[in-house]
Amino acid sequence: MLQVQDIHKSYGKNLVLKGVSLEAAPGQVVGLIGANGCGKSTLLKIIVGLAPADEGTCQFNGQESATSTEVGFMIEEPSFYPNLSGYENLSLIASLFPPDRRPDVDWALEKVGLSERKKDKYRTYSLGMKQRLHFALAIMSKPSLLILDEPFNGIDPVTVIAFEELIGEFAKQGATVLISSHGIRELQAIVDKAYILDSGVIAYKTDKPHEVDLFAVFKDIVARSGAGLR
Amino acid sequence: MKAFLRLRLAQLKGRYPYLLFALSVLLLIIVFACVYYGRHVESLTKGDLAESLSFYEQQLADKLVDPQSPQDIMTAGKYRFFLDTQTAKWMYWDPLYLLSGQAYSSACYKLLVIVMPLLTPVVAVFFAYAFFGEDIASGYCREYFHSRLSRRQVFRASFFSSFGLFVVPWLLVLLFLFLSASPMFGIKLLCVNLDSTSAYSALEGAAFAVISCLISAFLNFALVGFLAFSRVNGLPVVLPIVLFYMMVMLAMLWQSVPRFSYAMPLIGASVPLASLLVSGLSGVYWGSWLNLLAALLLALVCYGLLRRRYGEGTF
Repeated sequence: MLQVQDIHKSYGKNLVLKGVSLEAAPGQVVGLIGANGCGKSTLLKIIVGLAPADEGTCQFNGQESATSTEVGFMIEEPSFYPNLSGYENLSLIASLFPPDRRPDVDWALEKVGLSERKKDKYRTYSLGMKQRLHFALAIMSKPSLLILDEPFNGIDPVTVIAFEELIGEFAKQGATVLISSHGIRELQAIVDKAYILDSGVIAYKTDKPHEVDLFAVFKDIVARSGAGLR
Repeated sequence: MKAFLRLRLAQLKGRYPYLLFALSVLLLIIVFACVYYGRHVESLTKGDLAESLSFYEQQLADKLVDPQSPQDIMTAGKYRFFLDTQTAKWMYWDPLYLLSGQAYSSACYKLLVIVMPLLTPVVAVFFAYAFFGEDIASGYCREYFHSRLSRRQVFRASFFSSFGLFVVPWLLVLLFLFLSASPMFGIKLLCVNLDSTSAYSALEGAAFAVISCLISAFLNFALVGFLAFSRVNGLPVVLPIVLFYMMVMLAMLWQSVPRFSYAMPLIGASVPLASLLVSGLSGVYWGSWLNLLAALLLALVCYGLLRRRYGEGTF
């Protein structure tokens, strides 16, 4: 169970998150929707421990999520060594894991359909392949909590479907999945619960995302807060 | 740490053409400097030595005689090696066996106390950016978190594996120069600077240079790492180098005006990196220890400010 409570975060004088709370149960796929700069990525970074929160707590199964060993994530642009192959990149990071939790790199590459190209240098990969490798990194340790920030950015519809299937597969096996995306329609198809983040606060929450028009709700929130293009 | 060293070796694999080029240039500089200084020392002995010696002899007779300890009166056998900071010329006292194998040792000594403190921070910046700085700037650090190492562990391992990759071969070069210069360690050097002349042991100068090199390399790695947080492209590389040379040029400019020559350590101390260089360049003033201390204090302040500004940065 992921429990995020009253998270505050500021960068200098800019208050990015103002008391954000959310919950995600095992086997649940939770969507986080919001405009650019509303604080989605910051929240996800805090959950995985890449950024410290000013206030508030993030716990996963009773343990601080930032230090939990059961977390896999895909946040922002992938950062891999361009002169190494996809396999070498994942293997190097896998070698940083303790021996008893060493991830299965081959399994992850097969899952994302990169087995054929695993020995090619990362710099020769297309944008979609880079995203797939990033996804493989997130899942290679078979995590119980999967955090995905804009996983569908820059990938073709076939890969989107493949990713959605993989996410569903993880959730079925009992993993908690938290996804942020601009693609509301894509997200709506796979989530069990959705939050809309606007200007650092949770502006909307639903446990029945299939029964509401999330796009219309989001449009309405943006119009009310004036957070659209200015 | 072991895994991080593997990472570094893998990075090297991708970068070997650049590193090979950089190391070849470095090797050429050292070989060139060795040959150049070797010849320079030799020509001095044949040409200007007699005139210089008589000048220093008079100067030393005037200034080095300490009425409290008459046994310190200069003798030819005691002070044999000179550094004239105005002309940057190095000379031997003893002309009898001046050319018999001493030139090489003095060239290595000169490389150690002058060239290496100058070269070390620059090469350190290159390595620091290529590995530790890039880990942060390019976001590789973020991916290391998948293994659930803590922020502190990631930084420490990234920093020390990068630093180790640089400092181990560099230390071997320093050691090589140190050992090559060792025949000089039994003698004392005279440092003549306008109206002051001081004597110090060659061993102290060499030890000081090695320490300066290691500290400046360490500071550069730390500085590049923290600058990398700023995420301004090129800043981590350019800023330390610009600061470094700007302060050196300034210090040299000031030193060239006789009235302000005393100000060199003060100016040098205003920037840690330049200060370390200037310390190394002036090499062996007793005042350099004070200079180094000031530099370290300033480095700590600099570190604190950078940490406050960027230490909590995210990836």
